[in-house]
Amino acid sequence: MPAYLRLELRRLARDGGYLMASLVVPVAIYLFLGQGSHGDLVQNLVGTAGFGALGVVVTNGTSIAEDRSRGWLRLLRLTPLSPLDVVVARGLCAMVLAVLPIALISLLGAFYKHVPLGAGEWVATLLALWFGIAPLALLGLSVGYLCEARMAQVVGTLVYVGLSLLGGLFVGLDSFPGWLRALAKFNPVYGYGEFTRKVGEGGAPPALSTFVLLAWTAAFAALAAFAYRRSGRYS
Amino acid sequence: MTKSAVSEAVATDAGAPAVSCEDLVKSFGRVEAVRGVRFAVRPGETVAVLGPNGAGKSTTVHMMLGLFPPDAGSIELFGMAPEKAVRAGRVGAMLQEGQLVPRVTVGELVGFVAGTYGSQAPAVPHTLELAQIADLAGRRVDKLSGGQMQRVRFALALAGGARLVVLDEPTAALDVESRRQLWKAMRDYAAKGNTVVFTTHYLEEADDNADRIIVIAKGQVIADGPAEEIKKAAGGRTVAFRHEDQDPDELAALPGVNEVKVLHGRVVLTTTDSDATVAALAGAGLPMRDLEVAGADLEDAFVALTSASAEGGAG
Ligand SMILES: Nc1ncnc2c1ncn2[C@@H]1O[C@H](COP(=O)(O)OP(=O)(O)OP(=O)(O)O)[C@@H](O)[C@H]1O
Ligand SMILES: [Mg+2]
Repeated sequence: MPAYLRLELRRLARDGGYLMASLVVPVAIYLFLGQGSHGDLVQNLVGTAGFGALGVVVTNGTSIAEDRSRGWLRLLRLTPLSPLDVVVARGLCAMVLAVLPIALISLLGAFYKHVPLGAGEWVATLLALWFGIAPLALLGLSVGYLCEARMAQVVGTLVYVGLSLLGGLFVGLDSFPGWLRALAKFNPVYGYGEFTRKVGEGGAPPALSTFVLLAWTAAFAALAAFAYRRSGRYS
Repeated sequence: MTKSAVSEAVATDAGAPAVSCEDLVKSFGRVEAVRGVRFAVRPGETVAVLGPNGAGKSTTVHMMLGLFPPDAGSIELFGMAPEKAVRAGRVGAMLQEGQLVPRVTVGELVGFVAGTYGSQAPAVPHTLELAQIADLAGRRVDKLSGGQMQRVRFALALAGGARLVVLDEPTAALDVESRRQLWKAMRDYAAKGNTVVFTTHYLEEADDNADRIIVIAKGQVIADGPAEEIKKAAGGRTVAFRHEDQDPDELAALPGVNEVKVLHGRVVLTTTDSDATVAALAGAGLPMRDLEVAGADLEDAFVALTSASAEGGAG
């Protein structure tokens, strides 16, 4: 599997245009957001870093659908590589990719926006941003394995934009009607936002959002496994 | 690849046929693509699967490789389920269609695939040389011409040093010279004791490169045997030359000749053994200007074979 992971990472590294594009939007949003209270500074930092991470893990998933349409998944199935190793490597790719927006936004946060976090708080925030994205990376894999290439684009965009808006990544939930606010609590992106914000503000990980993230991790892992097995038959 | 898959492979390997297909059936919705295909391939054999468009060749190949299961029937490769044989590194494959994934070089891709087979894989430069793509090693696979891409896909099938290689129409997009080189590489590979199964539309190609030919039409095996037998059943080849004053009865009596026709000022002999026919023509001192020897038209051959199988003959 390391060889396969290396090959996929090399393919990504050669896709400069894609990498740039995936970083431009979160960086632009981050620079555009104003200064404010300590809470606002942290919220803006984790909100945009999380938004960027969400973007790359979702597109990592949709690119799987593209690879399938080119016969790449089938080619892999005709080698002795274990199918499980292939999925795991693809998931790890998403996690490696997620480092880019998280690191870039955090650098801007530390040196340009001067977000006042201690060393320990920085470490906790970065880890929360990184680990917290795992369930959404699994969701990305599921979309890639379940959908045809064009459908995957659409579903991926819906997931990316829809879940971030409804998850209150930028706009607080206060402006939402009550029923939507209640629903949003179970949105994995809301869980991710809450989790990273609380950690960023120096608190302990909140119980509810930790639970929501763990539950979605289990659910999306099962979905990804199902999607992968199903796609095997048709790839 | 797990250790258990390998050791089990060793245990079940001895004496098992390289390929064994039992009464395969596969439908896509209302299309019955494969309707009871059954054949076996011995280790070391080179077998051509011959058939017209839509005969069910690729569907059979996909099932052999474990890409999808048959609706009914069973397949074993070296006594194992296809997926298991693939995981054990026993199988190298080239499918009929398929672009290549972008942003990888030829060398990287062949090297990566070879690596998945572990130590049994031959050196990458050797494989590149075999497939005539050594000069393309540094090029991106998605920026190659159709024929070059096809040679890369051929290299991927050989890259692991697998004991069974399955090639679905390996020469479709190739020019004459590349075709010749590919067949030579394939025969060299087979000569090392490996098993090769390939599909083709051309009786000539099957005849030149396979020990045995399996003819598939409309999802069924309609003939299975050595090339000579198939050619005989299919009406063999034609020998044609300018019509002068040759005696039709004398021509009909030549070795191998089934039929004598005169068309547009040319004599056309249908023969099961064109070499013997031409030799006898020359021996008898008969005039044979503008001599042409050709494979019989495959469509005719399929018609001949299909009607033969309907009468309970071949197949
Ligand atoms: N995925 C699929 N969905 C629906 N029908 C299919 C599918 N694959 C093959 N078929 C149908 O099954 C039949 C056999 O197809 P197959 O690809 O096996 O033929 P083939 O012998 O390989 O032909 P060719 O020489 O053109 O490659 C055809 O009628 C084809 O249209
Ligand atoms: Mg085919």
